[in-house]
Amino acid sequence: MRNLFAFLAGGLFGLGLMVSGMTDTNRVQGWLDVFGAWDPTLAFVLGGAILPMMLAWAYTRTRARAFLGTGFPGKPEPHIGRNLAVGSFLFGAGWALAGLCPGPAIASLSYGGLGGLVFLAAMIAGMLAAVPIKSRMTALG
Amino acid sequence: MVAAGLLVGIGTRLANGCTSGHGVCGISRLSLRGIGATVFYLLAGGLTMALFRHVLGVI
Repeated sequence: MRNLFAFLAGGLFGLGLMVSGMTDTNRVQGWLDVFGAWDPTLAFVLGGAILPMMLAWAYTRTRARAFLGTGFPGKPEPHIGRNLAVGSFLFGAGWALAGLCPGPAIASLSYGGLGGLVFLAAMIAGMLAAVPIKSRMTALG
Repeated sequence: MVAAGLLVGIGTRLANGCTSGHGVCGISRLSLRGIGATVFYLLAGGLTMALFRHVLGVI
């Protein structure tokens, strides 16, 4: 049952990414091009995703567990540390360079050709490389 | 593509989240970390586009 719902949720998410234009690298780059020919339409994707998600979070507060029996993730400490700031900054730079973030990068397997595949491989390598970087940055305090 | 993929991979892991993770799930529960991460990655995205498209003209 869990796997079935994971499959359905993943499919719905992928469909949403395609329909909304988040997988269109030119549109993503246009959305980040705030100092040029800025295309603000993708802000509606973020806003449109945040609204139902707010309702969903509100609903989780009325339940102890999800329908499939697992608990809900707790809210993290409201602390913006170096890892979060540096990581998000690097992420934004890479997102702008290729117009791809992790979700669309995986979705691009179905349409992105070699470029998408190269990006995905590099992204996975980056995620693996980040583990030692993160522990070193954490050790620095 | 390789550089961009590496940056996105390292950044996502360091910051514990991406566009959907921090932007959608974080902001929607008014998490300070989610909002902060979104500000940082949009800022970096805007600056990177300005540099590479308008200064260097390569993308």
